[in-house]
Amino acid sequence: MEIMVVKCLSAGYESMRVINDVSFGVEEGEIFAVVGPNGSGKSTLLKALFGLAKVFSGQVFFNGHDITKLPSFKRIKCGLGYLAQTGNVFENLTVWENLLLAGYEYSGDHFDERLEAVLDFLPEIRSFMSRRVASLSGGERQMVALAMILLKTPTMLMFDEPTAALAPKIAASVFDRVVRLNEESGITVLLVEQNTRKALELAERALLLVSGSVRFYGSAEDLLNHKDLLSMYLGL
Amino acid sequence: MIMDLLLDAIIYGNLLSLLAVGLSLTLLTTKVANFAHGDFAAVGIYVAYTLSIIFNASPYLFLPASFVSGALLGLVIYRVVFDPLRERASLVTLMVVSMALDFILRYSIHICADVLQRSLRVFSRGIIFNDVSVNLLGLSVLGLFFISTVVTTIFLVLLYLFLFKTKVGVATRAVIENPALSEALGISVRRIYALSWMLSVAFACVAGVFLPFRITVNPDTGFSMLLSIFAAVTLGGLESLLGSVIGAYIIAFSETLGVYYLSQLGISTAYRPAISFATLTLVLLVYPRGIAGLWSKR
Repeated sequence: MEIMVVKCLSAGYESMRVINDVSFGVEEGEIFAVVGPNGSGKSTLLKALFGLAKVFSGQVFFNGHDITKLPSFKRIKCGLGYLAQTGNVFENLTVWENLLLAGYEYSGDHFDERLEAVLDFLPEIRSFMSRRVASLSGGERQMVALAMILLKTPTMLMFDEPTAALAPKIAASVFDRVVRLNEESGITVLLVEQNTRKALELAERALLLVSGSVRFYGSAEDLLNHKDLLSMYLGL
Repeated sequence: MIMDLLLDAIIYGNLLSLLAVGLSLTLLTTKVANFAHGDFAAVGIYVAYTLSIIFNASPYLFLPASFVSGALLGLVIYRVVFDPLRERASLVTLMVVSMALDFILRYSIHICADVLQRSLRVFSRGIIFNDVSVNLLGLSVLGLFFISTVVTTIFLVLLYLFLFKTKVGVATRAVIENPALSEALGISVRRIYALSWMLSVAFACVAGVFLPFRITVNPDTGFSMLLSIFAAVTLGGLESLLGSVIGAYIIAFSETLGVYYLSQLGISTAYRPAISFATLTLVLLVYPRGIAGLWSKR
């Protein structure tokens, strides 16, 4: 069953269209990769799916409901999570305060319960709960941002280049967590990733976006074996 | 003499810090450089004055009433004026709107003052409140010194506790830093903005109650303080509440002592506003990002 269906989506910023007529579906419980060269519109696609970019035409369905016109916070309530590349944490607040805000609408008991579950998944956070986010490393910030999204109990998570600017060792741990989230919690993952080969190895299906349009949509393994497409657009 | 001056500077600093913190709060949240902020103090003056006449009691007793009136006025102004402009107006437009609001408020207060004069048969301009004096170590100290210091301290401590120890306060700081992310997390940015306007105007109204204990006031008194309030906020670094408080005391001390020494030199005290700006210029030359630049890493 498809948890997300995107139909003929055109989106961008103000009067500028960045993605054109994009259609695809994401199966419940899968890891779905969106790959493409720089400037192909991958991040804009995610922003449009999360209500942060202007949709010119087309529709986005999530769990069978049309969410095209819903604001971001209502999409979160529907179970959609989005980890942006930057601006995903409050740098001037402490880690604890960031987590408190992620559970802003929860009652005390429910918040404590959710927080414990999230901290069990990301135990490292316990060691820097009282630190200001501005003082954390890039990897630690990503972990805080992930914890904030997980507090919202998402059924599908969209990652926008979660390993950008991270050291290889930390990037590997991020990939490991993405897989664990998918396998242990059953969370559907939509992954935009600069490390194309790694993303395609993790994903079951993939979409190749070039200049805002779909060039390939299908099995990630097939795309990995498609030498012409890989060398032409992804330099692999 | 010098002790009297220092006590007066502290009193002025108390009033100015309440006003500067309020202006800073709405500047940080809704990005409005509010030229009507001084008028809110005038609203506080006339609320306390009217109630003190009606109930024949000390204006100090009406500090809570002024606070509540200010909070309600702040809510109405945000909802009616600034909320509809939130996503449509540029920062310059918002500033010009606040200038228009200043005219509307100031002349509305003038009308209210006229109504007050006719209906209650009292003076409504050139008002000054009577205060008690306390003898402290041979020095005659105004009750205003104690009350304004205690009230300002309580308000600033409560504001700190609100911002750092409550969920809504943390959300306010989050909205100041990143309104888009706050909204995405389900925080109602509009409510936080409304709350910041309520607190801002309420603080200014409380400062207004203290003003007639110190100087003769009229409906334009708040507006005439606007330059000093902006100087305090700018000195504080524009983006820090603590900076605004420190900036307020620096401006208060420099103005109070500066005016005294100008008069000693036989120079007109009409240069008072120039003292604020001379202080502001000097501090910004040394610390271009204002006082907050001393601890802010950005």
